[in-house]
Amino acid sequence: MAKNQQTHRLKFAAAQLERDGARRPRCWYRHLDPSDGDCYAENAIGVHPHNQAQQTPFQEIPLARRKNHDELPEPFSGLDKWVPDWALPDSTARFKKRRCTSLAEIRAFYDALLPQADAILKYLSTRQLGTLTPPEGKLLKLMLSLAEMGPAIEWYGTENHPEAFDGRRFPLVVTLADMSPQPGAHT
Amino acid sequence: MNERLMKTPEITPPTLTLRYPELGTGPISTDAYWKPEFYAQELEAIFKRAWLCVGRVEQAAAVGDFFVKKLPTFDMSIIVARGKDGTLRAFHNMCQHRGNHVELRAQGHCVGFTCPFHGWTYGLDGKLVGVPDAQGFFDLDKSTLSLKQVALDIWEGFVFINLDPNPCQSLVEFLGTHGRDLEGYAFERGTAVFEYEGTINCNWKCMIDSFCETYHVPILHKHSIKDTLAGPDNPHGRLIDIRLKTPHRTMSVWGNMAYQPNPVQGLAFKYAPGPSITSGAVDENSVLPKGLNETRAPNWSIDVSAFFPNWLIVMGSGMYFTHQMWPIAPNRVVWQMRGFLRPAQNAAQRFGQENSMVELRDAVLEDCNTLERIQSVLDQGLLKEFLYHDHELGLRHQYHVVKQWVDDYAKARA
Ligand code: FES
Ligand SMILES: [Fe+2]
Repeated sequence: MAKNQQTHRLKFAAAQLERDGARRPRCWYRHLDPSDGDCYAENAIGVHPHNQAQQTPFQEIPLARRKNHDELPEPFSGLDKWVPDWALPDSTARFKKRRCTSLAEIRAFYDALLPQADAILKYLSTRQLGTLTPPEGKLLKLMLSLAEMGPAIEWYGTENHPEAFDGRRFPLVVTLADMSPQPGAHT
Repeated sequence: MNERLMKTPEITPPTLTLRYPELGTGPISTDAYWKPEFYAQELEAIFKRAWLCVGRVEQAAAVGDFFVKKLPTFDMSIIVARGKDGTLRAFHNMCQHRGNHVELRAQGHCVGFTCPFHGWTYGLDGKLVGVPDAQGFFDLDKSTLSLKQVALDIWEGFVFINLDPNPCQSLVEFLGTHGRDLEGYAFERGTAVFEYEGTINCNWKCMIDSFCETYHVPILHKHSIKDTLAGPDNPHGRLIDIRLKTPHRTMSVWGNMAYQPNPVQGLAFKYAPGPSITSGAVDENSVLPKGLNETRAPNWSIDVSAFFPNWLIVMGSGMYFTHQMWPIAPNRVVWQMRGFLRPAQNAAQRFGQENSMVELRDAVLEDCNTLERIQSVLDQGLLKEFLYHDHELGLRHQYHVVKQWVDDYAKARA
């Protein structure tokens, strides 16, 4: 019963958000499965389909064929265990992750990554976007999650500034691809 | 006087407003920030007559490229397309048969536009070229049925339109010295583009005002950008300078050169493609146009350049971002924030970019609850006047310019 009420509330909130967003372009779509956590259920916001073309889909090897599918480049293999939860599809997913994760978990991730972050960035600075191997791509994605989590630890000391406006009301509508080469870069 | 104080450049004293005696120093009526009658006048006098930025030339670089810009204020859709002659043109997205949108995509490449209702087709120059079963119409004259063109002009790669069929000023005249003084900035180098969009329950002018003063920075932004844009040497967040180039204006924002970044932030600054948004660092290789940090203050971080009526460019030496406010009601605004970063030359610089996006978003989200609370007070008619600090001169100026445009338009029509 309580669960039903919860679902009902979320549906109501989703309808409200839809109404609030009525003036947005009509082609919004739900790109995250509502079943993957309550905090996603009312979020009708995703990457704009027109921008998807720019997104290089995360190059996944099918599960059956991969052994160590969470592996990072060798010097950083000690961080492999963070890959499943923290190598995320895009900026929108990372912001959601921050909003839906406890500060203790964020801090554990931050504390694990930070000591190696400079070495990782030195390594990544020798790699070109558009040419990353899957382990390198995962390493970059972990660092992008660190960028998202930074202010939670360094500015606010909480998942979100308690005074902050609801970030779901100000979504990314044009997003930077994580791993594609960028126009104007001389590679 | 101790050594530190002697070395510190002096904080701008609160005498900026006195340079502009025509603006006065008294309180400002809040009527313009909530009354529906005034809002209706603003749409006619300002938004249907001023030049409005709708994008950049790179969005339609090649012949046949187009993009569609929605103007939430009028629930209007505008096509910007590059014709066979290389010319950029703007059209109302409106079929001459019965008014359907002829282009439904947000951007793309095409040889012309085909209405998805009955299939009328138009060239890139807007001319009607095809009508299925044309014999069924009475006295059909195709030459009079082109897509309705909208005035378009370009400044520094930014595409502007004007909804007035006969704009009273050219874009160059409209931008005046404000535009001239910013020419030459490397706008085209900001090719890594991201954009946030949301609807905020406040008057469009209040939303603009929130980026035109830094008096609130040490208080409202105490967890985030307080230590970069204010600091022990500038505890109250005074600006370096405000220059009015009516109807436009620029605020030069002070930067704390002694700022020590946090750990993740420090790494992001180190690996950013050019100075990142919150670092306040200066790109040594950029030649700054006259109008950017015009006083050439050494402790400068960014300029907020306000283009009347609804567009701001927040410019640093190596990156910039824009805010655009589209009113949709007296107390509601669609807010678009678009970042233009230098492209990442390697994978580590992508991390620096992410930090810029995240910190910018977090900082501006701190502004919005305040705006909605103020609007609810205004909507109740409870607060009759705003009192402006000297360094809130930009707010006073916006009010005067808006009032002037509304009054002039009313007078001209009387
Ligand atoms: S409305 Fe466009 S073809 Fe009929
Ligand atoms: Fe602010």
